[in-house]
Amino acid sequence: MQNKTKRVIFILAVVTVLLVVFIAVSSNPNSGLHSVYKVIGTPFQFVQKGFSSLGTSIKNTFSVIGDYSEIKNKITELQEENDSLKNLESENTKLQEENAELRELLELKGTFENYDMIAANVIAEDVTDWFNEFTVDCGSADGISNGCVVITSKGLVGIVYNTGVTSSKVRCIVDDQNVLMSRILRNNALVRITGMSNENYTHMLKLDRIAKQTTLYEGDTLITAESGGVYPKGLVVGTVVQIEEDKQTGNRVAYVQPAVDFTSVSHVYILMPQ
Amino acid sequence: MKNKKHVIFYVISSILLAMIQEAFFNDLRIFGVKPNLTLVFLCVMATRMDCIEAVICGVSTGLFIDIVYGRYIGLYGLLYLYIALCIAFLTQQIYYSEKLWWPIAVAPVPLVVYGVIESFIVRLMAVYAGEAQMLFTNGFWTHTVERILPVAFYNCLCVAILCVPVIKFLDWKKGGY
Repeated sequence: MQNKTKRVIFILAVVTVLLVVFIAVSSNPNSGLHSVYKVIGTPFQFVQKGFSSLGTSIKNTFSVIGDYSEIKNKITELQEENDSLKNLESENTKLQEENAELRELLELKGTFENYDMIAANVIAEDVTDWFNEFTVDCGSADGISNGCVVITSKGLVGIVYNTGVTSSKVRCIVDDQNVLMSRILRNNALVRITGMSNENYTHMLKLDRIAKQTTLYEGDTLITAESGGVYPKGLVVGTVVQIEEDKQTGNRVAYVQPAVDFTSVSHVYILMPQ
Repeated sequence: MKNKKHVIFYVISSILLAMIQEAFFNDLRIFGVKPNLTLVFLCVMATRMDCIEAVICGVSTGLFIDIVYGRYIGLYGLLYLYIALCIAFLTQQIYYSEKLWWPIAVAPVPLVVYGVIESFIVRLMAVYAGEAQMLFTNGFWTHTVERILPVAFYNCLCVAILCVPVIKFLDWKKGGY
């Protein structure tokens, strides 16, 4: 065997063993290896933030171009005077939407008196698409710590699990690793919710540990329970869309559509315990 | 090493591509699938690397993905290492590295194999960690048809689109980047 081939095989063996050890160590969520994200991830997240803002402005430009052509068609149909009215109307709608969002936020703020709320933008999603995670542009410098709860005005999004200085990684509730206790809004019954596998791009939750006497119907709304102390009580989690009976155990299992559309999350709020 | 600049150029480009992908490509999903630009770039570049360069580039790109975006440190380092090595090795054995179309010919099989191994390892770790009860909920073939093949196809398409400009650029800058 040539010397070069031997060298390649040796390097390959060493690197493979090292990486396997890294994987094994980092599979523990509390491993110190994850702190490398703080050191290496933080400077990159600055650049990522820049790219993300550039991407957003380009997207906005394209959507403006799309709107412009639409408006142009309408101009030919409805004359020039209507154009200004249409612009005013679209601005008004935008303001109304903004107003509604701020009102929802204000209501949410009132709901969680023991929490400070901070707004954050999603700057990166999971590159590989395997893990239901995303990165937000707030970190320990903003007061964020691991375990902070992430929400939108629609409901619960997930939990911060890795905090950098200016960015944090958020794990969505639909991820397999997430388990939370929840209550059925209609009858206050306690149930357990787990994230479902995302292997086929499904964003669903699974409901189990449903007591025999608990009534459960499709369309029931689920909210977070106070037990566990991780999630504040009363956050909307989702709606029951399907109930099945396990043929082997006879227990009921239900599937829940999350309240938040995870495919379009771009702005979130992070709850920090006071 | 044949060319240190080669490796540095590759690593910086990959990091930039990963960031560009995160900023722009999340909205370019087709049937829920988005391309993995760093992997695509690695496949194209690996056809112009020797085995040691491929190992270094694969590991560094994969580790970057693991640290900045991933959950397990080392997982994508390992996967990227072997896909880069596989392509570089095949290219060296068959000696087609000068051909513009070679990345399009060599990439599909490693990309599909990569998809299968990636799925298998990630699901295995989910089962091991108690996050999932079975490897593939709807069976392996359903998973292959719904996820592995579309992702591999999209990535192959990107290889086909990217390989000509990237290789032309490399040839233009030969020894100079």
